[in-house]
Amino acid sequence: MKFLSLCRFLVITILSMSLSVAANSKIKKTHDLQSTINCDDDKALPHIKCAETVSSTFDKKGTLWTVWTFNDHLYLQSSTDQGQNFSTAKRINITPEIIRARGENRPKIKLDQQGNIYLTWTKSLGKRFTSDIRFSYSKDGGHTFSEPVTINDDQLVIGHSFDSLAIGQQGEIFITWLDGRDGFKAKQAGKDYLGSSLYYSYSTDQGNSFSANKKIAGQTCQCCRLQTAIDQNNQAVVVWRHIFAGGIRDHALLKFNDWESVGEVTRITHENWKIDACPHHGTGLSIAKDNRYHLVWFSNSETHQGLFYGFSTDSGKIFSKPLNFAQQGAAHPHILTLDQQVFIVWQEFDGTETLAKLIRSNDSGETWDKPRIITQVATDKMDQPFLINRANQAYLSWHQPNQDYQLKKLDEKLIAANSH
Amino acid sequence: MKNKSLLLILCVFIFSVHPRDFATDSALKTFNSGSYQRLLTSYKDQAFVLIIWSITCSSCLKEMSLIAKLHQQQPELNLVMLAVNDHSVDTQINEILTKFKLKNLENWVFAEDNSVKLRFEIDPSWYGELPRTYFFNAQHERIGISGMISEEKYQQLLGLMKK
Repeated sequence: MKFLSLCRFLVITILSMSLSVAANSKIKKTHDLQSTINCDDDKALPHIKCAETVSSTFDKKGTLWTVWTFNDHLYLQSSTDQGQNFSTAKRINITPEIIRARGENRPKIKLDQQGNIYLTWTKSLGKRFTSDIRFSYSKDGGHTFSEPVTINDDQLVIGHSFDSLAIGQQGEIFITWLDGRDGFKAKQAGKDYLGSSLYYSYSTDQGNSFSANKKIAGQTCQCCRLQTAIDQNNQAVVVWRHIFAGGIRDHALLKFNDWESVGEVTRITHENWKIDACPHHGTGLSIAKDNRYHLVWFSNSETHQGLFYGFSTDSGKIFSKPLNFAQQGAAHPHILTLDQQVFIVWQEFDGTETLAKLIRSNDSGETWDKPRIITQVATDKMDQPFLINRANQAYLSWHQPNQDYQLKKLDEKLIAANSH
Repeated sequence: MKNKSLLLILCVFIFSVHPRDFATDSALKTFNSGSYQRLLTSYKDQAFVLIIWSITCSSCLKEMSLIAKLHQQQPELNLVMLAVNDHSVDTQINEILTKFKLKNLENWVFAEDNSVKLRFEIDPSWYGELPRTYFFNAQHERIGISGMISEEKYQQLLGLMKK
């Protein structure tokens, strides 16, 4: 009987190995057909098209800055003609490190009024769910970058991720992230700890030194992007998906009083989404010049499904009645305010193409036009859409991994050309 | 004579291996475009549970002990597992399945990591949150649940499935 079992085992093993090899070959071949630059080639030169995510921003001179990863390095490129032509890719970290760049977790880039460039990213530490928050800066317009440093100060090999970066009116560098140290310590003491914690640190000397890490909230959802904005009083505002009593994963807001102290954690969305899972679906936050807070978010509760918008005129204590502007299939909204204009973009996969859709308000979010399709790509593999501002003009920044990065000016001509 | 006997033995075993047995042995089946329909066909007139998970989903991993327990206590249940990771992480997938004694279940793996298109084919109204579990009755009417499910709720849904 043993001999018969061995024969059966061998036959099955050989057949399963053959099928596995065939499956892997098929995956590689399909990938090669998609591009002329072979992004899988170890010898391939860095190129923005090979990135999984592209993070971008305009400086006050109107130059576009993009940051993306390739073969365990972070790269920076700039464009002075709104993405028509790019500078040579500048490598940021000399020592390779695995950088999280997918979906909700991606590198961040911000510039201050002097044109200093600040970058944060999440570095994977190899073991599943472990990572560090990294920071680097350039004070010479991107020619040279500082040696990356780790912002979390606990020296624990645990999860520190979803870095979020904002620059204050006086050039203060504010970094917040999701931190696992409280959960780790609780586990060591044999106790439970729900979710993750929100920590922050800031610098008032252009990134030469950072304040000691400080916890500002506990029981946060572990896997949604954070949003940070600086309000008109130079106070940092952070929004995240929280875990409220009863396992409800709705959203919370914290406003700082100054760089050292925070207000109360405020619950700002009320879909009552009871779920013991990770939605991987963070918010979009934009604070207008009149200090109105504009927020977009996602929910899939029993009573509220899809994408929502709301605004607050009292610094985030209360938000307006949510507008459910998109339903089934709609995902990853982002928002931008320009004076009285408010733009919201999101993506939808219709089975064949991924669409980037837009709604716009001309009266600070009180009323909105109907959704338009701004652009579409014949694929299901698109990165999330983002809105960035160049001299009071909104742009859509949207990347197709391993294919193409596009920047689209959302001017009246484009908007009018795309019917509802 | 000896060669013919060996060949006969080999043939007997090749034909004695049921396709589903083969699939549940150690291979991770590739979930391609069209696989969902084929899955439904293979379970025609049978109730089954489709458990969708990922190696990077901590809630999914927490639920695996319960799935293993249900499988042990009710071996007649058709439990099908589908990881949204691709074959590049087969080692990690297999490690997890082995650790939780779920290797001999029917296990699938996405042809492409976290493919939006494959998710859409399963359920256009599923946003991709994990774990995602579908309970099918024999007529293939289904209930989709997002997030971890308690043992009590699991039993309740399994009961509904049998109707």
